[in-house]
Amino acid sequence: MNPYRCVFHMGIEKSLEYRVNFLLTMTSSIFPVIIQTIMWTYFYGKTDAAASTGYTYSQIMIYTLLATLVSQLVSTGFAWQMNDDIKRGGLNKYLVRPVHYGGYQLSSFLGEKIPQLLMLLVVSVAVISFSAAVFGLTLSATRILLFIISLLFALALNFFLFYTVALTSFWLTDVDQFFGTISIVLVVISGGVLPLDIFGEKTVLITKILPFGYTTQFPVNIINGRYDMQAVGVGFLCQLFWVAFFGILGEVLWKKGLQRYVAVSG
Amino acid sequence: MRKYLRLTGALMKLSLMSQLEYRINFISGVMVEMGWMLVKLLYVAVVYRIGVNIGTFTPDHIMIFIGIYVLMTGFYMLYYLNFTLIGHMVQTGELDMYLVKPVSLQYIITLRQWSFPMFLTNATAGSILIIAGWHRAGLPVSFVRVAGFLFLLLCSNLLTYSLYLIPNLLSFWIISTGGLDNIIAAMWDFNNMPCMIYGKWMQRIGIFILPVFVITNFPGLFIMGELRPFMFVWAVGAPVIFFIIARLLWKRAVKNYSSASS
Repeated sequence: MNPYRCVFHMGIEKSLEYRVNFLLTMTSSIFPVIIQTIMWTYFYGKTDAAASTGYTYSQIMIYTLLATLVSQLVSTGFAWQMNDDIKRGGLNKYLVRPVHYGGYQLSSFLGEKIPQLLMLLVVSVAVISFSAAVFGLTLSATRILLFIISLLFALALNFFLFYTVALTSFWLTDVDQFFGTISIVLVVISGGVLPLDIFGEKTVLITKILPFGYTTQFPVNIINGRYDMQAVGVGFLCQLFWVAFFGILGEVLWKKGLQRYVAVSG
Repeated sequence: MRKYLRLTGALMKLSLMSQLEYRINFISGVMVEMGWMLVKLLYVAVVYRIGVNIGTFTPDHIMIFIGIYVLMTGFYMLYYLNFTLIGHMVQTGELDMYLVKPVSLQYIITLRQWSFPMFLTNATAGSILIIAGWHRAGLPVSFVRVAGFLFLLLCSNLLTYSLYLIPNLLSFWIISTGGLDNIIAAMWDFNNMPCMIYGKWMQRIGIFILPVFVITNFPGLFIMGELRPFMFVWAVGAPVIFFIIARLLWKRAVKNYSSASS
């Protein structure tokens, strides 16, 4: 059996092993959604918030409902494991096997995400149906398909981004808290808390140029109808560019890092 | 009382010294907290971007509420780690070691370690937001307002300690409170915005049943001259009531404890 397929299956099993933890995490992430739903309803009810944010009420509500879910889906947790492998010599066991370490991590990551992706799609169907009924969201099969494709690209992008960040463990001494900071900052600048393009033209431009918005803000704005087909096409190209960029950068860092690596411990 | 003040001072000094011993960790801790700060500041940015008023409160007033929320987060983070360790101490039997110490068990378990990196970041940012909001809103600065505000902050700290200790005491009965911790932490975030944006029933629950809104809203209402007398009484009474409840539950929990491990 292909080793990567094997690791992929192990990832699925690992994810299902901690399903209660996953459900509890999802439950606790409902609270920020409730807070923001109330907040936006109040703001849109009292002011002409649509004029200052550029989002209609239905768009911002769908964004609020889906951004947390997408952010959870694309989140990664393997950076700490990689750091541990590099620092404690755990990398040795991968170096002597006929597998590429990055491929191994990617297979495991995708395996872990499959149950989450399926659950997200079920919840998304419920949220989108609710939004269609309450906020008058109009949907087409094309838009749903584009949303799913953008989610897959977002998963790949976030994987390579964090893989690159995790490889800094070859050079940095203490990265545990550093990864924590990076994770939080990336959630914010990817639009996982609030859409960043509500803060004016300059922010719109920055989010379009930088890779982070393509992990959360871009997929959600496809489904809520904020982007036309041209913008979606450009967005896909940007996603692919950044996936390739971080893929290549990761490979370069991996090779450079291995030259510095000293196999210690077990 | 003097003994406990001296002991607190010594424990704080010890915590600070051990944290400063690993300076990179200390700086990293500050950086993580600054990341979280970014999330909180986003809400301030949204309020100013939209220019929304909540009732009679302008964005400057709202900044004061968010500032108090940030500041109170800092105070809570000072001793929060002790709460999360209760479960571990019960499971491993580490609690035994503290049972024989000549100080209150609740005191030494819940106020033993002090985390300064998280406190410093939140306290600094929170204070700046409060002072800036106070100044921009043109609120008067008088001895009564400042003293009353500081007194209510003190009450809020007692309430936070009591209210958030209670769910952690479940560790004496159940193995893992991780999921519960996440939910309690998420409830704290309801203070991201002034309680006036929530519906009447949510406000009543958040003020009288699970008084999380009292913690950050009442000191702010006081400096704005909007805290009615009965609310002031509740701001002082709620911490006392919840402290008594937490104390009784603590005693019951310790009675239930059977030494584990060795």
